[in-house]
Amino acid sequence: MGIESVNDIIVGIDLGTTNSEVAIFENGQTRVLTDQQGERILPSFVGITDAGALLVGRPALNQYVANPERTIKSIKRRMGEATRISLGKNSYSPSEISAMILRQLRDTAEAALGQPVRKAVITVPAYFSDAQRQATREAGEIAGLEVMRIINEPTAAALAYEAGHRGSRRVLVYDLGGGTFDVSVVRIEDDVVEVVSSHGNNHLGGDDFDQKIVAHLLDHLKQQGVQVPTTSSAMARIIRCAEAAKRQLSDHVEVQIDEEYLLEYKGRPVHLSLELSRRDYEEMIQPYIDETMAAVHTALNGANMTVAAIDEILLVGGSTRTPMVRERLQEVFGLIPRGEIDPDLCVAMGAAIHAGVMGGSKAAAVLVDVTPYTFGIGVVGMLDGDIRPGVLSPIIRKNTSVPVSRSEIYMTMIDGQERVGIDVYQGEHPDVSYDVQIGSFTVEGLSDVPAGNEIVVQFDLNLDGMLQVTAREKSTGLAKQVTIDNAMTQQEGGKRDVSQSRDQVAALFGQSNKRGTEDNRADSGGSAGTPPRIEVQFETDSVAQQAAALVTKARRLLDQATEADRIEIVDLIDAIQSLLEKGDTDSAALQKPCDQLADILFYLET
Amino acid sequence: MANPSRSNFFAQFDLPVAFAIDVGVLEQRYRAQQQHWHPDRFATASATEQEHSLQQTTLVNEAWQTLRDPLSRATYLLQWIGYQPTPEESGDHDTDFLMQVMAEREALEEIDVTAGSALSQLEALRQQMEQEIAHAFSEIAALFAGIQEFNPADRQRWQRVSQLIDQQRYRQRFLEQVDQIEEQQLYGR
Repeated sequence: MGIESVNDIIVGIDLGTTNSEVAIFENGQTRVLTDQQGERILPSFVGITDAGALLVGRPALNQYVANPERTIKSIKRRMGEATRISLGKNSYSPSEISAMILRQLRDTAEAALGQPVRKAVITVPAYFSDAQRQATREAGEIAGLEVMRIINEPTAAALAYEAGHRGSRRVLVYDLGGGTFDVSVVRIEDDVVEVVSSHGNNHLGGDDFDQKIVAHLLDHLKQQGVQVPTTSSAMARIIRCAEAAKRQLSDHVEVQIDEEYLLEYKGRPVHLSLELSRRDYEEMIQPYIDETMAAVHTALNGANMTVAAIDEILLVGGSTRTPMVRERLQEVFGLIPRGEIDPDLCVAMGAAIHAGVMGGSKAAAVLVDVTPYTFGIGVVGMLDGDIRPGVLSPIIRKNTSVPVSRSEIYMTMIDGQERVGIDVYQGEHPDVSYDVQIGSFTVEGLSDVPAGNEIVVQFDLNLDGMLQVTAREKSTGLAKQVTIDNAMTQQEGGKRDVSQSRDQVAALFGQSNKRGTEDNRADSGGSAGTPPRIEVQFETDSVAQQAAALVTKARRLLDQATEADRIEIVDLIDAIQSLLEKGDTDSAALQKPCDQLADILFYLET
Repeated sequence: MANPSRSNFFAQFDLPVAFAIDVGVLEQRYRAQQQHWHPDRFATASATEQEHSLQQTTLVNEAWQTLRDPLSRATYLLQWIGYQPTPEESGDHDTDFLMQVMAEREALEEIDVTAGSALSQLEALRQQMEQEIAHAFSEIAALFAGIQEFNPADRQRWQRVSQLIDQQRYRQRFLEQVDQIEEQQLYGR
């Protein structure tokens, strides 16, 4: 345990809204791993029993109707939110809940392979934001997995598909899952799977279809004068009914919905009984399907392609079983969408292929993906406090291949300007108030020069779709660097330690008695396994530069400090400078006094 | 601004410095380099090799993205030549173009988006714009024929290219607007 070898297996994981799977690539083939019951699909449900034991997957799904308040479904839709979700006596972040699902998949893989599993490629919707990607990465770490790469679901599906169908073509991947929708235009050629454009909606999926049916059923009951309490088990039954009806409507033009003794209302039993036709259902979901078709159009435009340029349509995600989806695509493209790979499994299979490539297999194609968002800055909040309305200055444009590094030069506006605030946005709108702000930071200690001091802002977007931003005074090289995902995690308050979460999740797995003894052995390994990787990781140079900037700032603020603080500040300045002079720019050694100094300065300024 | 520390994007793909390039060859070489340098191929290699592959891939992507699009290729070529318009030069307007712009704007605004004929009217505008784009690119290609390092005698030539590039950008934005209106028409959002 704890000894890493290059032959460590890397698994591929599809962490879905409704279902999750784990797969591996071996001997040029993908294999979706089964649990001890022989199941390949793990429902993405997490629950707690009366006795406080953790349930993940099918058992949690099964208790959902009886104990909705102790069961969590569709946690993926909350990923990246700064929220805590109560489960039993405790509350958890969305990453922690997702980690429980990942931990279960890891256990499944370890049991199926008979070896420890510590590395994974995890998929996310292409349209997942920076914060959502970071939350997913964090979930992996909490589950004791080193996340080797985050890849996009439609791209993973294209990889799985490519593996079986060589030859050059252009494919439209239409991926409608439980909670998210993505569409990607992909070129497959010469062992390179290249995403040309991507678009989507990270809050649109089969769950919304269920909701429409649920609303319909509640309406029906209301007409009989019955109000259903929102957190009751009756509500959970209605939701389950709606899901079942939706599924049946894929194969039948009409379904009969019957739930007897749904609840007792004003002393009399209430039964639910009605017919639902596919036609009525399709009318309910039409606005959603329209929205996906508009996104298809946007993706084609982004790829500079017309409908006629597409050779094949690939369907991914359980919700593509809806006949209306197939019909509309067929109508627009004149092609019969392909679905020969199980839409529930192809994402996990693609993740496994990617894991195979990372593990050294030459058998599969490499993947070139694009960013579905434009990233840029709006510079506001200059020294005089005059806040100008922000205009987005794009630095990395939508549909640019990653990894990518781009820089732009901006100028200061005021003579002697000492600092500049950098606000980072994600979105397409020229007015930043319509875009999503994903981070902000300040470069301090600029040279005392007239306005027009050149600041180079560099964006590095990595293969996981996560952004790192560096701002540098051109004349001196003074730099401030921030990795946006870290900035987000810190903004979300709480700032919980990953290792703390990991111990907590591992402990929950320890409490759970439904698993074999093998897993308990793995538990201790999990908490002692991979180190947390959340801390800000600076390049050696920039730590030094950042430290220098911090020292400059500290000197400037020294007058405002109390006697006690001043002594401490001077000590820290000395400590940092002696490290810098020794050239000891090892990030860990420097980081500590820098963090301490930054803390004191923070209180001084506020 | 040209970044002299970056290597020549054409050399990256072993192509001659020219506006008229064989895009098929560019694509092939781009894919071959992706295959070769992709960081996923180095996931188990040393940290130095990993860093190198990441740098190479980033460079390959940048070069590819700059060269594959004719407009950014033209912009890059002007930088490579070393031409920068003076404020006077950039204020020099092409009156014919301005007249055309006004007429096209008007035509776009006059389209009644609620009318049944809106889509065909939009399509006609799009075709007109696409023709203009193609026409301007052939002029750009002619001006770039046989390019060399910057030569003051060629200044007017590069000024015209720079002007044409700005015009193409305008036309692209115009097409984006047409797209947006069309999407609203088709999908009612």
